[in-house]
Amino acid sequence: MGDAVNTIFINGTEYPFKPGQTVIQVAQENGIDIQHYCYHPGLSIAGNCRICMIEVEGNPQPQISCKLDCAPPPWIKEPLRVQTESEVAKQGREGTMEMLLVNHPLDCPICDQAGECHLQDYSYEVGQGQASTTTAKTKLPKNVPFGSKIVYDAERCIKCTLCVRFCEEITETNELSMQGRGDEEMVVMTSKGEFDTPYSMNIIDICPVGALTSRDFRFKSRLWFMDFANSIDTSSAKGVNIVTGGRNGTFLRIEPRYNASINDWWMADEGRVAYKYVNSPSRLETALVRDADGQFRVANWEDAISAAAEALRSNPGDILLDGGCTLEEMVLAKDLAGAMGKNAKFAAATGEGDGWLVTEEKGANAKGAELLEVARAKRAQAASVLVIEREEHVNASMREKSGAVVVFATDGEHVPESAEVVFPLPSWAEREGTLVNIDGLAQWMERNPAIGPNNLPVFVEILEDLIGELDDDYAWRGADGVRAEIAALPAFAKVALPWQTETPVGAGS
Amino acid sequence: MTVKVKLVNRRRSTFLDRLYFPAIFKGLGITFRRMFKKKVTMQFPEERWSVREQYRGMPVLVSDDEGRPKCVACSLCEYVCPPKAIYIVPQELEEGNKVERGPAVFDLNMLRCIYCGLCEEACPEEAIFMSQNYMVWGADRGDMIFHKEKLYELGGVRTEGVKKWKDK
Repeated sequence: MGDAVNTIFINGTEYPFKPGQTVIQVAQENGIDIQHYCYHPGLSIAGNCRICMIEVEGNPQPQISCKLDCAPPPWIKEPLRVQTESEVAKQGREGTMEMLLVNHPLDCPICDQAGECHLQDYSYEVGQGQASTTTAKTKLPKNVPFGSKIVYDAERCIKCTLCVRFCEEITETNELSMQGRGDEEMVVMTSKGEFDTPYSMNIIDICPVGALTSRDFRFKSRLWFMDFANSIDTSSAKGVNIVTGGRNGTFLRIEPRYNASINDWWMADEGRVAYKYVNSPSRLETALVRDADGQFRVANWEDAISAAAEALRSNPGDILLDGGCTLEEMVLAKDLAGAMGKNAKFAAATGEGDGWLVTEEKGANAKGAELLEVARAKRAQAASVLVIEREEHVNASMREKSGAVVVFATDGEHVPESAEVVFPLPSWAEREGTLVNIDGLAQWMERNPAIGPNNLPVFVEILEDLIGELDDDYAWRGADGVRAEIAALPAFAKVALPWQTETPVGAGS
Repeated sequence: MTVKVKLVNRRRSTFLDRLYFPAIFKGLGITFRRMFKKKVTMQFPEERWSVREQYRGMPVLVSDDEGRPKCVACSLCEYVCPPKAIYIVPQELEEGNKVERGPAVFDLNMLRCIYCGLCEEACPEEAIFMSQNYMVWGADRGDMIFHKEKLYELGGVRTEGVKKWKDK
């Protein structure tokens, strides 16, 4: 076996492959797009959708590329030669597409998957536009609840079994199974009870069609109205890569994003619904300053900043940060505390973890705080500046006992009685910055402009303005200057910072 | 840059012009001549202009012959509308309806509408049509935003076209 074949010709170009790789994997690695439904790089290969047809030279029939081993049988010493765009391959795909569409309902106008549906995309590419059959489409159950979070539509299902394989191989809980034969085949729950496992909603993302949709996102918005941004999950400290989706100021959806070194393709359901407080009706939108008669009145930014500086001069104290603050914000908060001769601390909740994507540590940047030497506040303590975004990190008694005079809060409900000046704090989806996850991996969090109230000030700019008011010799650095400082810190010598590397660690398509 | 100026010498009015009577009689002459010709004006709103079938009047929503409102809130008209006159909030319809989805809010701002007909063209359900109604009025800006109920009332029932959900 010394001279085993280790290359394959795809569309006439020779590519090397590793033993065990199939044709679709080599093609995807080299940027050749082969249509697929039932193939998922994170799951076993089933080969039952039949859309990834390619032509193997010397073979009259098209073959499926997801299950075709790149290595030819041992008695053949020639590399395999395959064509993805030849007439035979195209005919194979067109035929498969027609069969898939025979019983697929024309639900696109009411289907949440429309816009990110593989069936829609591929039918646009290779669909015939005209069916050879005129029989009525099969009627199957629609709107079947799979637990409280997922809705299943058997008519739209193309029986790729991705969801079944996910429950067998990733969560190993086996809640789903295929039932029936032919056009009556559908996915059913094997357990009679609920399907509410902590990772169940991942099957919504991997479903190539609209058969599995989210109860939470159901009919909220069409995808083409939404804006998306690559962000980081802040509900736990694992730093799961996500995509935030919003429209007209409303946060609508969180979906996972591939990152090989953290979460692969998956995320926990807990993180997907961790956006609700961002859409709270009591969100703060303006700066508030307490009057002489004890009432809050709306102030412009300049007045609020000078009032805050006044309050801090007469009442200097520690700064209590939310555990989700970014590195940049923590550095500036430390400087603000330094200008008052005090310290910055952070508070973050701890809870249950599952050893995978949900950590016991809930502060998204707790590790970053450790590197920056920002101490953790374990119990209620006095502070003059309070930064509160998530209720669970700084709870009501901690807020009231802090006696903070300057408060940065996302929600108006979280402002303690003692507050003199209140600034609206943009939520994590509306801020950009760097987070260090629990394994010490620094990641960039992108801002989504379609989420949150309009015209909120940038948190780091307000912090810098405050330092400038308190310290006459302060030289403005801007967020970029702060980042350069972080990179120069000895604690960050071994951390790959996302703005320094061209491709962030583990990121992929 | 220099601008060339051309001076026009106006003719000064003569004595006859300044009497004005010849001009008055000339104008009255035209009026008398028109009296015996066919009228081109009509007494709106008692008399109304009948428009062609393909006339693009105000967009309206229609129901099918079973009385089912046809719109499923797919928001394609909202997407295609050039002046952004349409605003839709979808909702899930309860069990028993033939289709799962419909509009909770369908607002059509007739101050914005430019009568282009793209909404009718984009609609996959044949639920929105350009009606023959050219009399759109309102006492204030709020009146000019037409809501779902009013749009269905104006649209009425249309029996032709697809009935996609009839067997559901």
